[in-house]
Amino acid sequence: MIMQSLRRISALFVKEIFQISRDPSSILIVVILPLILLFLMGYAISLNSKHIALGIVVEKSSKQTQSLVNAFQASPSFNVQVAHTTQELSREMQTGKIYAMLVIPSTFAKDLSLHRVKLQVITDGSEPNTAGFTQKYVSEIWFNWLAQEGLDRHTLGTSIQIKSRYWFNSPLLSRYFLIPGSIAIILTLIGTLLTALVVAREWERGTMEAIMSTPITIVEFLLGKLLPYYFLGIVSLLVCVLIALFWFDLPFRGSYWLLFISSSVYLFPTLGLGLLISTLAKNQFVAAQAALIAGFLPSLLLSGFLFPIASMPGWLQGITHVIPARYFVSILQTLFLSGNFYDIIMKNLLYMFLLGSVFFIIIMKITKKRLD
Amino acid sequence: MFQLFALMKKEFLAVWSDKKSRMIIIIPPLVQLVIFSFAVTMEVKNVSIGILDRDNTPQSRAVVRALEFSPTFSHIYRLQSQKELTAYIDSQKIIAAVSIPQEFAKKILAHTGTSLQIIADGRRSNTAQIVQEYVQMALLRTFPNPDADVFVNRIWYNPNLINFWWIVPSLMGTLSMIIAVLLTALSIARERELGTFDQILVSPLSTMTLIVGKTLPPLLISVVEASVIFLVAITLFKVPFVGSVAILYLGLISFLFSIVGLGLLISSISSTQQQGVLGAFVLVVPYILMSGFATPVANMPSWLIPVTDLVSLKYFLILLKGVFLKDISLRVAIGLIIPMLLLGFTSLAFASWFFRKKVA
Repeated sequence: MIMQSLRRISALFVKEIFQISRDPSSILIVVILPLILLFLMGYAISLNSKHIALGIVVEKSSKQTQSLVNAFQASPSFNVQVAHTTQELSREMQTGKIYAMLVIPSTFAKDLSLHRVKLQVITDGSEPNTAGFTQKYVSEIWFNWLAQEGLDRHTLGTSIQIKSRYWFNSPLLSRYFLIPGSIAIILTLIGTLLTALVVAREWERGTMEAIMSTPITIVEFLLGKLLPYYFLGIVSLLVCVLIALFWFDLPFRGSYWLLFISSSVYLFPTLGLGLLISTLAKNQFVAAQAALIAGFLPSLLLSGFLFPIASMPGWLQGITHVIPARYFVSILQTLFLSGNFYDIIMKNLLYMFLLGSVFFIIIMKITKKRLD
Repeated sequence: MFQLFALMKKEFLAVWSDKKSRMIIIIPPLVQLVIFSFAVTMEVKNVSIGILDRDNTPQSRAVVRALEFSPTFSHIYRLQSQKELTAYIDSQKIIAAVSIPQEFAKKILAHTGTSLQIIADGRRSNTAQIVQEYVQMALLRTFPNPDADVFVNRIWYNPNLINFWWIVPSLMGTLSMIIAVLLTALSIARERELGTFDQILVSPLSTMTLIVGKTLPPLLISVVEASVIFLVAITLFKVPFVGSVAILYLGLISFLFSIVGLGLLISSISSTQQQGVLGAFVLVVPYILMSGFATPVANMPSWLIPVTDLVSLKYFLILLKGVFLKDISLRVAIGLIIPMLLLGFTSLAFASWFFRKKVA
């Protein structure tokens, strides 16, 4: 009985492997896409704003304004462009060529000696994040410049320095948390999108009925169908971890076996979701769209990896609880950056497992009906 | 001409006749629009922080009070020791902790200068950085600095920094792009997979007719889709629209044309739908990440910036924000439209070249 069952599973397994290895697009998603995604996350996306394009309007040039402009030019936070009127720069602002303007008035030199300088900072509200950073950096450079010119007044506020330390990520690199997060996205793509497509294709081509007419049971079918994609996911994980550690020099402070176990547990709800989508969709176009909407986009936007969950409205925070990626991102960031914190990891593992079980119970219910 | 209409009619029917395909192009974009408009925010709200007050003087308590009044923090834990602080950060109970040293007040009064320490969780370094800013602001309110009101801050185009005002226009571009690329990437691949492509090839349709007939229907569908999002944006989300509708549509059609071109290119080189979808994916993800949607293009390393010139979404996002919030002129818009059209024609040219090659 068990032997026969194993034979059926392995037959389906082998068929699936053939199908994967004959289609170059599987390699595309298992190896090429992770490479592209990790490189973009490592290089293109940086949440620490640098080189913000800033236009400085110097209404009347003087020794002091020159020195202040130099201070801005020397800062890595800004790429400075100098003009003499606001009008000259407002077109640049419209086309998004510059994100902010600093207006140094014509009375600057005089105001400075009287301690009544007013500087106007105009920021582009269509980029709220950059606008915030700009205001902060401009004032930092201003105070440094005052100190450097010996013009600052010692007051209560300025005499308190704020020293910041970032635990687990002392160089404060966005890639330290973006790359672990990307691994969750890549596994979601393999688990949900690829599986959804593959099973939808069986329905579309009518080969599903052929499989159903064989003595295979649902459990055997699920195992034979999903195991190959589970292995693909693990291969992809390996690729990602190697790139993260050896190319991007990420730390890894947890243990590898825990990473392996968490990834396996994460693939459980992910594969389940893919299978569920394809069972409901039965058509590759619909399955692809649904996998995008239910799998990829939530793992990118609602997992808390790019955008803080705590800032979302309450109803949306509720939705994030059924996104498996939310739990996996938290595990990945903990394992890479801080170590084996068992209470965080175990809690998240449990949630992922529960979600997976729910998906599979639904699938069993639906698929059974079809077999009758 | 008649042939073209027949093909277009068939293309529309292929999408419309199936109830599920019909649903999947109407409902999800709207659901996504609503969910993502609320999700995508860099603001920090409802986070908890901890305070370790080692000084316990009127001055240090003033700092604590300033933080307690800040609406950003949902809960403030009074920590008793460094050990407790470590445990709270490790378990992600707090995102950051402010540590006030002993003799804080004494040093302030003596004007010798002192320092506060902020310890933040680098696992979420973006949030931590923003929290640090809020703490700094709260401190400035406690100990006002006469030099700080030097700045007159003006925010153009979105004076109250309402998040919807930038995210909803951006989503209008991204969501209509996803629909357009998937519709086209699958169109030819599906015919190949089902074997109906051969039937089209033996019909008297010319390659030109075929390309146009395959391009226009997805273009129309995604333009309608974008229009629905546009209506939702200005009615439901109350995003202001200060520019001209003509410029918006000129830009929208040029942008979707470039995307449909890319989709067709993918479709022409893939022989199964799976290849089509995954190909579309490998394209869409870098496209979104390099477009400046999430982070400004200027933040990217200098070697990558020229690559973003090939991303038509980049131009369209500037145009969208421009036409919604900044009332850009036609001249400015043309400068953004031309690169999109060029990209569209180039990818269509490649697509038809691949067709001929595969047919021959």
